[in-house]
Amino acid sequence: MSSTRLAITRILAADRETIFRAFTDPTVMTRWFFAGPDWSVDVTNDVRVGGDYQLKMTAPDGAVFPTNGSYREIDPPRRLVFTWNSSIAQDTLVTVALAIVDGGTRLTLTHDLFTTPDAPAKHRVGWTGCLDSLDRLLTPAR
Amino acid sequence: MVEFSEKRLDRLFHGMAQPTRRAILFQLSHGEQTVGQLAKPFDMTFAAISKHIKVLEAADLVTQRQQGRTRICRLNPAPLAEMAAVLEHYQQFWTGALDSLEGFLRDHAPGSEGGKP
Repeated sequence: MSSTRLAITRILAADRETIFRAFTDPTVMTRWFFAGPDWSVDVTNDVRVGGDYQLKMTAPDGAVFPTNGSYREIDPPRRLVFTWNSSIAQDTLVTVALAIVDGGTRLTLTHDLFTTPDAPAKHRVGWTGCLDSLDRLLTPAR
Repeated sequence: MVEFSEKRLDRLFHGMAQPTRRAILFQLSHGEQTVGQLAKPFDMTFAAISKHIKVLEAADLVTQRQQGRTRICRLNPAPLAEMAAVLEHYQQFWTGALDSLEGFLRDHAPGSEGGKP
């Protein structure tokens, strides 16, 4: 089975507050939140749990890559979790975890191709369970 | 950036986005199994397991063939390569983004010689 999650760890020479801000303050995000040099990004975001964000990344050749999602967990300066939808992957989940280490902050970023169920989805799972039980009752045992 | 067939990926993600289905795929990664064998570890009816297998079949992750009265399921690993390509794409994206973040932090470190660029 192949993995459905990637994890990247970096030690950054800054405190957690600065890095947390870099991931959430649009005026800072526009300075770095893109794939490489000569890219740019437009950011709009509503930093609260359930709030949405939109990123419009523009490549050096002018191609635009829109991404959007919503914030799931906001726990400054330790943890930030948000969903991630782009043209290539819908309903994925990004987690940024920040820990104090010698020389600064250890940043662990995980990108999960499957979101963990949120409250409404759990509800749906509950219903599916009920329907499965009904299914079981109605289906003769084999 | 890489381009992917969106509908195909949607079916693939839908196929994988359920714990029972992931467990079925894991079981099949050890070799072919009948639907009955697949149903055994789960507290589920044959019908419920069959439904999950149909979703996996639509995602092109599982193929089925009839042998007498039993149906035998087999894992088709090819679409998983497509998923690996998505991860690879994001590996590159985040590596680039974190490089940019590092550069930004360096330029804006308190007392950095360059100060603001």
